Amino acid sequence: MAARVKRNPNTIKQGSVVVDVVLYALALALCLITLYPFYFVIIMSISNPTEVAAMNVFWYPKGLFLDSYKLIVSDTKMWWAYSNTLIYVSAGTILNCLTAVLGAYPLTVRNLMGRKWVVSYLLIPMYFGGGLIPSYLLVNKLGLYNTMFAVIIPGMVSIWNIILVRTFFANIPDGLKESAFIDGASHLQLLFRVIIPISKPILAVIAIYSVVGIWNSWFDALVYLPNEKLHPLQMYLYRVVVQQSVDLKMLSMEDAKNAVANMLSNIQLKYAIIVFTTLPVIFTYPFFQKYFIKGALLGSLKE
Amino acid sequence: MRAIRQPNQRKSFRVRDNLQLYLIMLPVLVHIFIFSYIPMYGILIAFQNYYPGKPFLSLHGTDWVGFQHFIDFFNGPYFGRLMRNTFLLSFYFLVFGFWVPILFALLLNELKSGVFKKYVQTASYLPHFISNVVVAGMVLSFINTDGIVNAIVKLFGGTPVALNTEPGYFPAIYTITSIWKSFGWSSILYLAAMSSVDPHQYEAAKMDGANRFKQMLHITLPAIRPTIFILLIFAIGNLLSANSEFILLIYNPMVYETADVIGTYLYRDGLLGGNFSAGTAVGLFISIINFTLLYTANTLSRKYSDYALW
Amino acid sequence: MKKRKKPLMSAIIAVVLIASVTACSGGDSKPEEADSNAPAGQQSAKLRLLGPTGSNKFIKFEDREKYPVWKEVDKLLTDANLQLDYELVPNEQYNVVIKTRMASGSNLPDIVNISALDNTTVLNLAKQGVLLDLNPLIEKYSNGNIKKMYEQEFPYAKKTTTTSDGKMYWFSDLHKKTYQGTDPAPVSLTMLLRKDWLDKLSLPVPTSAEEYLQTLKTMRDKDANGNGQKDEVLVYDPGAFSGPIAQWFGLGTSISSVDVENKKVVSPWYQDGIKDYFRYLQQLVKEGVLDTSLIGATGEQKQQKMTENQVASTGDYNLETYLEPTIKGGGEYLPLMPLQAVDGIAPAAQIEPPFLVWQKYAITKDSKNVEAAIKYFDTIYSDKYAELLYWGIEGQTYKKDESGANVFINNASDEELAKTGQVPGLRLFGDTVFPRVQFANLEFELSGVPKYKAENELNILKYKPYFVNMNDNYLAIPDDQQLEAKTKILTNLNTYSTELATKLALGQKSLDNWDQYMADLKKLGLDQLLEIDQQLLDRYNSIQ
Repeated sequence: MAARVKRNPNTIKQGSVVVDVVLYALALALCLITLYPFYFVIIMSISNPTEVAAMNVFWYPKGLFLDSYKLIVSDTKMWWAYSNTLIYVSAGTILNCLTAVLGAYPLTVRNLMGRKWVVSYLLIPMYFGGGLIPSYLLVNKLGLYNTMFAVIIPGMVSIWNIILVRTFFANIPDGLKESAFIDGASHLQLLFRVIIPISKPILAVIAIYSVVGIWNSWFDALVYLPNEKLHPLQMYLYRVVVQQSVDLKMLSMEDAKNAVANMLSNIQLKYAIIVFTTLPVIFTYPFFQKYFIKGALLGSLKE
Repeated sequence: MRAIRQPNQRKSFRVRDNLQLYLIMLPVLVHIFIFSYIPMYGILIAFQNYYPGKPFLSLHGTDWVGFQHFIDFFNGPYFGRLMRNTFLLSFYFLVFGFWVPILFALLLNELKSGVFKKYVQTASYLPHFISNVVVAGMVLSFINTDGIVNAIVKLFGGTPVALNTEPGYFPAIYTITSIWKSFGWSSILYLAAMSSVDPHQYEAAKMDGANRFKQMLHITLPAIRPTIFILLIFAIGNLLSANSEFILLIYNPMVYETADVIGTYLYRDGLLGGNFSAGTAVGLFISIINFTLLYTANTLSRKYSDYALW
Repeated sequence: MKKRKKPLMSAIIAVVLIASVTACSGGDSKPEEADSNAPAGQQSAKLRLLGPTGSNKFIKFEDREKYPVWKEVDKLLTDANLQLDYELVPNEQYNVVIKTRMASGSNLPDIVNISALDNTTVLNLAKQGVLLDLNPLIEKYSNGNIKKMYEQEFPYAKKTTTTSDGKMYWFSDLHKKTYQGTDPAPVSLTMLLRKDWLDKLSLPVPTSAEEYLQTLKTMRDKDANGNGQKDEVLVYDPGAFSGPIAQWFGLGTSISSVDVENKKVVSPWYQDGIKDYFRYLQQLVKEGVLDTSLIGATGEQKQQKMTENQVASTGDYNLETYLEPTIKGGGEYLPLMPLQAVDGIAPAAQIEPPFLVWQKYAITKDSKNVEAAIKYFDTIYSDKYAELLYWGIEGQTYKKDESGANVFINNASDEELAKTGQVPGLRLFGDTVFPRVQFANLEFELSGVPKYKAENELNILKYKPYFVNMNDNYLAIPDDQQLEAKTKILTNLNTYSTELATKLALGQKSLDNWDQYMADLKKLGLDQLLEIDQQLLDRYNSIQ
């Protein structure tokens, strides 16, 4: 498959060089614009805190200050949070892919009775929700409160993902399915033997959405997990950000003193935490990338 | 959206197939019922004076106020401005931002596979990972009177502008930042759709003498059309949902005129004391409008383009 | 869609019905059975407490065993036969956790820190019977400590914690700062001016608002920070009236503010100096000394200017010592006395009241041992606890100075303090489930600041007229109607007031349309707000 991918584009594209140059230049410019913020975060995270507070660091790090990283790395809770996040992400991603496929496939069968009803049934919760307290009461009632399941189970179905997968499934040529039915396959067999193998691109998208979405989420943990030992990594970032937004005007002089000290120490820490919490997930992307390459679908068809 | 056409010879489709298909969906449908539909009774508090600790529904103790919270919001002095700003900011993002990821995906598609392409793709989605707080901090320091933007303006002989105190600039700042933050991430979906194109199609087109632009127009674009339409329908169904979390971080009283949206207003309202009911009422009102927009967009799309959610 | 509607509606109704049943029954699930009738004799009584953790990165409650001060507090609790079972939720999360927990209303701990809840929610919880009225419990079970603290040491505390129907639902943090034994000692919020820049440019200390403006201009024009750019600025937020410049014009500190001495609620919008104030701000903006890009900015952005050594003047506490160390290259801030701005209007000071009452600690309906809960608060409101909390242990964390006043010993960083364990209780467990009872003094504050700051403070002690920065400290708890009316008015009124004040200061709106603005403010309920607050102030003053 890899060989195919590499060969194909070359045979396809022999257009004018000028167009190529323009396209590459454009891509490079976009690349720089989007790369900058992360570069900025990294140089901020290792610069001298005074320079960071003065927002003086734009192009290269000023001074070298690694204490923030030391503080993070030496915090055992941080590593706990890391392993928690890994659990939430792996469980959540598998469940999300599975439910997306199961929810999407039947909706692509035109003869399905009440198909429109089911679609409405899916769309309504995307717009209407009962809010924080009813959800809390439900989770509490189900005995999920303050357990890892409180984060995994409510988030295992994403309606948005179902719709995306359905859009993709609907574009699969009918011929493929018909031949399966002639062989006497059931719907479930058709789904897993024929459709899923040729739907790797969309599954990769769903996987990436889930990995990144769950990795970056903190709200469910905030509401359902008072136990710090179960916290995901993102709660650390949330903590720094929240502590920073304290309104100094509301504090007495003594408390203002501590709040200022806290704010100052957090200004730099924030950047180090961002680097620490996002680097791993960024590196998962290239892993999925091969499924988005031109001709990838055909490659997997022939596998 | 075209659904799968069933082979005619399977006459007994109705009963057995339906049963099979519903069984496949059942876990998902049940989950959605439990975690999305059951908590929906919370909407009731839009019609009450609710505070934590009160029962949502009981014979005594529930303080029904009917549509009072809606009426208060409609009659409030800022209703017009909030609706306008919320709509406009979402609208600008739709008009100026919707096609950016599509173009970007097309651009990537034209690059030869290789290290560079992978780099560009990865880089493009990095801003998605930077928390709003940091992005806001960067944006504010860029648009400051002594920030980079004004330095460039000065370089070209212009006079520095107070970008963060003039209401006129806010929509542009918000829209550009939002597009920049999201276009790479949004392009993933289009790339996935493009990957399903059979490379032989391109080769065949080339035999027919189609140049790259024509190949793009007649092969690549049709392949991602369903995705474009579905995303467009949802984007229209989101025309009243500006990113208030981000706006909160970059606005100030001087630009309220163009920057204060429903979300930020509710945030300030909530600070003063848990206005649970009023907040829910406003949220419900927005949801109804958004849902109506979605429905309308879908209907129009089905009528004119053959692509629809249902 | 038409066809679809009916079954859909019925489905929703069905859902709602099912759900409401679940919700209603959710409210009364019984707490686990335990020693519900534990005798209050020798056997120690168990109490469950729920509160937030502290936010300090180094000094953490979970390491409490290694701190000497905790051993002392623990002894107090053991002596009182109390066995405490803490549930501490991370600080940043507590706000949400307490809201949802109280909403579910089941299986609550005995004692809970409800400071994160707003008044409306708390009063509603009280009305639902979730929180207990403390007065009868104190009468019945207290050994007298609570009363002594509330009635003798902090007599104003009851005024802000008694509801309109005479009940009390929460205990509070209590704070007072005195000078020379008993004199109340307010500190002030004032305009700070770079003293080292004054000295460097040989400028005199400004004595009027006009001179202040000229001084700022000179600092900028003569490049006081010496970086070659005219970037020395005033950091000031004209949107609210809480910046001390407003008080120079005799204005209150908030849209509805308390004039303590005259027992009146006033609004800056109706006060005499208001137009002159905006004219003055317009001048500051026009001259380019007021940095408009920092209006409505976050603390971090303001800190950026501070660190960059560009802030010539800003408003803060007169005795602060935390700003100077953050300036790159160092600097000194001189606190200014209120400056004369308009003929016929005496400039006012803005002070932080010497007596403060804040935070809320309540006993819930699920408390199995109310007597023990009261005993807990009796322990808290004891002199010994107050000493341990605020001052710590004599000889370790504080000592007596020549005049006999307490002064702290340590001035080390948190990181070092965490190692030595020499901290007062406040740093370790204050504001968690342990209320703060603070007998602070000015002597210590003065000992740690340069002479020019101490002088300013001594001049401020008896200064009049003044406004306070925490107006709510002088208002009684509103009743239902007052509360509802206030919440309805405030968001719109604040939005309008902030926007208008900012735009007037920037000259984006003209003072010529004044009558229109007043009409708008009235329409938004300014008068009603003042009326309600006046009633609350009156009730505050009437509570014994």
